[in-house]
Amino acid sequence: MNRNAYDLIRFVLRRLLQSLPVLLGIATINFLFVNLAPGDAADVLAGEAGAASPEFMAALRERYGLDEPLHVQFLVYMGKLLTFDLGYSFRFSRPVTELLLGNLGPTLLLMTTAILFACSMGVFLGVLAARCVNRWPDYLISVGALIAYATPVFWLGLMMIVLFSVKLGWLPSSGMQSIGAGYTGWRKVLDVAQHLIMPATVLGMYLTAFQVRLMRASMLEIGEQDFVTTARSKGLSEQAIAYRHVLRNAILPMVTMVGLQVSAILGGSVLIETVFAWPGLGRLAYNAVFQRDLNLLLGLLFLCSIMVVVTNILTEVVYRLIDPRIPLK
Amino acid sequence: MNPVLSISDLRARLRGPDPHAFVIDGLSLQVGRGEVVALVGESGSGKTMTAYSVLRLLPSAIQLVGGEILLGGQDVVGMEARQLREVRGTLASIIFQEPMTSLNPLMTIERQIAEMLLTHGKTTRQTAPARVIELLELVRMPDARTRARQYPHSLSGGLRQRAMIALALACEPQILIADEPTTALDVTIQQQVMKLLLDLRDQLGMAILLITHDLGVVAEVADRVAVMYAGRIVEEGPVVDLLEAPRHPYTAGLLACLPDVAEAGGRLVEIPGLPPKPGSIREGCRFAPRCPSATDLCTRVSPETRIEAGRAIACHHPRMPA
Amino acid sequence: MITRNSLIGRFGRHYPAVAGLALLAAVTAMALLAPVLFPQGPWRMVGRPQLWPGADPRFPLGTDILGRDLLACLFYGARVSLLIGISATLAATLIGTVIGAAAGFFGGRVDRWLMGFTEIFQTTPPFVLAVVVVAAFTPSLTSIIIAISLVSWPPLARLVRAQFLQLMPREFVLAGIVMGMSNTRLIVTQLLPNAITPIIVSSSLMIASAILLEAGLAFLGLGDPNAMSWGYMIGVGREVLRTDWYITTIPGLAVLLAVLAINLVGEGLNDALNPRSRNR
Repeated sequence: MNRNAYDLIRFVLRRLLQSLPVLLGIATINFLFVNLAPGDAADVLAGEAGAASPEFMAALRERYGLDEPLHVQFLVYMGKLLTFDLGYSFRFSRPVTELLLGNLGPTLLLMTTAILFACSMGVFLGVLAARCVNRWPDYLISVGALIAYATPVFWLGLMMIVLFSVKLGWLPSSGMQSIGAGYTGWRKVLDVAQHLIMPATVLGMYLTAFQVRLMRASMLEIGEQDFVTTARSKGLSEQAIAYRHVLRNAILPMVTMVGLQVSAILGGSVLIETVFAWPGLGRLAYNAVFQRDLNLLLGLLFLCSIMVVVTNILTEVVYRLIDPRIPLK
Repeated sequence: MNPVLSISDLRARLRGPDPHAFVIDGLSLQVGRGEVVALVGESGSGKTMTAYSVLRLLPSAIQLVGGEILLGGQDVVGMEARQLREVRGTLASIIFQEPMTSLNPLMTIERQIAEMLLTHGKTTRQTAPARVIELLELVRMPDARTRARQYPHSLSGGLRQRAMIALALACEPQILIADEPTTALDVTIQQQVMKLLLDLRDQLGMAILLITHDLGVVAEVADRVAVMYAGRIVEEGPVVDLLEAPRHPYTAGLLACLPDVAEAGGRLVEIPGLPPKPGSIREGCRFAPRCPSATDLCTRVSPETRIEAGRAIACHHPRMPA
Repeated sequence: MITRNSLIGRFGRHYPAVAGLALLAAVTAMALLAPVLFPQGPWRMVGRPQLWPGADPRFPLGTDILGRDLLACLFYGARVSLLIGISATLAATLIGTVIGAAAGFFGGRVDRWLMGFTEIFQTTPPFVLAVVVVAAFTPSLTSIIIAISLVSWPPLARLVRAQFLQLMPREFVLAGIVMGMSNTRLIVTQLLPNAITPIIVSSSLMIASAILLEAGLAFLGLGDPNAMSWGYMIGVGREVLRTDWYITTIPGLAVLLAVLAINLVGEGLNDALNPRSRNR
């Protein structure tokens, strides 16, 4: 057991180390953007202040190191990144890192819920489709997946607000909790859960569609493998065969799919959080776009990339925990 | 003496538009207590499907359409799902050709065997691990305690087949169906596994229905042989008689292909032509197109099975006993 | 000639693909006919604001919050969606093919560097990157097309690379090398033509995702302010979602149908071009 934990830690550390060049590359591209984009922070600040004399601009540039040569600026930028200093958001008058961390929690909650929802729906509907292969539930599920691929998520979110909040009044349309209700304990959990239902469902929709198709295909494929015949010959019930033998094997590709789709989900959360006024990174991104706060946007991009890297390592760990054939080496 | 397994007039066909696409076409076969019966034939003759049908494990593309399979006196064909599950593993169990794929890759050997024991209430959760190790020692698994906790991928083919045999014997079935159990293994391992099966038969007294195309193995281990062609038994009899004096032209052809019947690893090869596809021959003897002694009668009338001196044969023109 | 086994024949038996093609033709017709049917453009206020569909026969789909004809907006929106979808896809296909071809053909260090570069782009969430690019360079058709192509090429590069790796050891390529063909000639005349089928299929599907990306950008206010687009229409309708939800619903349905059409056609193409993949 201890040995396994040791292997696990070593594996995670090695994978993190392997991801460093990619993160470095992303940081470089970020830096290029700052300098390629027309105008710099001084222009933005000066524009804010209204009048801007050349002397004032020069003073600003000196203060923020914007007058240094490009390669010096690059080294300074990289040095700051190492200490997680992502610069200063002039619009919010706060350090970018502080803003990002303050908004990280709700986004993680939303994403995790969306992924869990997508995976469980994927299992449920995928198994259903595979059991009814080429009969009407199967066709219905396939058509549903096809439409889900084509639906703009933010629009679906708006339509759900119309239906479930405006017309039926079942679910709250925005925010993460009821303002001013001051709930505590379980009431609060329940309140957040109610606010979470719509955005998480919509955000998880693409992934659900992917998982359903994947699950259906692997259930059908694995159902024909020899070890399933063995299980049947042991006298197990169809239920036990489906859940103990087929499903466990069919889940493996789903784990990989989560890793592949996590960056799409992060992108989707920008739109979904905007639609549902969810107080997370996505909404922060929207505000940053609205206010042309490039520093904040770039910090966000960097944080999102780190999240993708971490999720990928996590899915690899989960895969290896389920599948003994691939060692943690 | 009641046979352990008695199949009579079994028919199974491919699902699809052709109602005559029989994979098993009126097959009858009996296996007595403690007996080793070999079912021999080319690939495509329907022997594996016969093995699968005994426990109703046929793939969904194939449908049982008639006949009777008595397993310990109970009819498997008409059995309800619940009763069928009770029979599987306890009255009869099966091992497969490919030990690499017949075990679940995500479960330890111990769990897979314990699952069988627990399903049939042969042990409790507490005593299961000890019983599993007993079983693994029974099949002479080296280092059974360690192997029990391993996953199939860390075992060699021969060891996996031993684990599979331990699994099959876990509930002490009256008959073990072995579908080409050694084909996928190395030659030296093949002999070890065959010997193990025979020893276990002597030790536990179960019957074995051995599906094979390896006449060398048949000569060594079987008590009786049934030769299968195109979904039917064409000839059946005690192993020595049948191999020394085949009466059906097909059996004779099979034996003629062997350089030396006694030589281990001898395989059935070249008889001119191929076995017919299910449903392609509707009238007459299925073997007629490839048969050296076929006559007009053979292409018109399907031969009945006759029993002569402890041997069964389905041929219009059997070879004379020597 | 259209036979049962010809390309067109196989495509034609795939009914969803035919339906998709019909739908796509309708969207294309909308894009082409927009200036003919609505010469005054989409931005003019032509009637009372917030007229529901059917309330006034002059505006079968009603008007938006500024009294603009939704039907006209929808037609002009089709122009923008198709223009951006197709241009961004062409650009992304070009980038992806060049990078993937170079990585697969030269292998070794070139391959490692190019794939490392690709991984950087695959790690950044595409939509977030597109937002940053468009926000950094003010929104315009050009910056949107650049942004979408910049985030869309990596999967294609991987695909082309994998194809090339498969093709490289084949005899006709070896023959080309022995004959002393130049690298460029080898890639263009020998390798690319044999890798073209999957490129076509995934490019056609890429148009759909490009349209979705564009709609998302425009919804966030990152659309070209001079181009009427479906995403922008959804964003406008959002302000009166509680009362006049049709203003949001109609353009969203347009996006859905256009994307669905392209996906269906793409899958039909896939089945027609690789008949064996049908059974997967």
